[in-house]
Amino acid sequence: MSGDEGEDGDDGDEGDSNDEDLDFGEDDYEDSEVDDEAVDKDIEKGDKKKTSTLTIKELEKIFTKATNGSTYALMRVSNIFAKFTNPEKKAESLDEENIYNNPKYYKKILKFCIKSLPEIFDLKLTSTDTKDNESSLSSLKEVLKKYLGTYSKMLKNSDSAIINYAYTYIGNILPLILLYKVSTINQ
Amino acid sequence: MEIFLKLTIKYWSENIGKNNSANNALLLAKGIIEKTPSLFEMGLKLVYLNYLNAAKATNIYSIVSIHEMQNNIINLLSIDLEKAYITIFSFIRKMCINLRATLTDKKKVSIKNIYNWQFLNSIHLWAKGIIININYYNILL
Repeated sequence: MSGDEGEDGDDGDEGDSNDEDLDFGEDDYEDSEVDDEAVDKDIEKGDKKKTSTLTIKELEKIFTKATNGSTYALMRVSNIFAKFTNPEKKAESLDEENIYNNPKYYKKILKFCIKSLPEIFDLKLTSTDTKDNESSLSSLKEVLKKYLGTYSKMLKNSDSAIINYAYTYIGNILPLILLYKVSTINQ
Repeated sequence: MEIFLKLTIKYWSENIGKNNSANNALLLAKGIIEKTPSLFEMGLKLVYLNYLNAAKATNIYSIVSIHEMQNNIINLLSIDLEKAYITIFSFIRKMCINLRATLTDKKKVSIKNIYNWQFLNSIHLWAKGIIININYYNILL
């Protein structure tokens, strides 16, 4: 966009209600929209690059950290869980080491997220370290919110086999739901 | 919390008698209702509506799961009988209105309103509920 075009657009805004001037203004706006879309696409590409490089070794590291109670690792596990339970999920690259392309990791991830993660969340939320530190408690609540949202979506949209599996361990999330509700009411 | 309640009750009604996970779903729903008294009425209504859906198709195979559902609903009622009384009263009242309309009208269409498995199973459920909690309702009467 040149400086002259900008000046013409300003003229249109200053009082002339000519159709031509208004059209020109809209065109100008559309150009800027296209630029924004391009920027958004670049950001999305960046995100895809980040997720598509997840290997089994990295996943196991994240699982270990999450088991140890790292909030960041819990957040990453929640994100992976959300990605795996999304029905519109598609393979992103042909890399065999990428866990998103390999269906045999579905079971491993779902098992961890359904069976073990609620207990980890419960222990983390009820530990005195977290209770005393308000900032870590609020960040953990955000992660828990995302996790519970993903869980409910999974119960709605997933295959019947996954839903049946989730319901065998559904009792684990009751304390989380209650804790989340109590904490939001107290706020 | 309401989402989980809806989902678990729906799953329970669709899978009762088929797999054990249905009982887990009901336990979660019961846990939510017990800890959140404000959701008791909503939970009871959801359970009853899902029961009515299941009771439509009564046959030799489904009768066992329908009886199991009845027992589960009565179990849920016992969490708070005082609140349950108010909710159940409205359900029974609706049934009474239907029955009275049929008795006065006596047309084929209105007879169908009461001559169906849903109506019969509803009467069975509430009769069973009152009989099991007879001691409590004696006090109310």
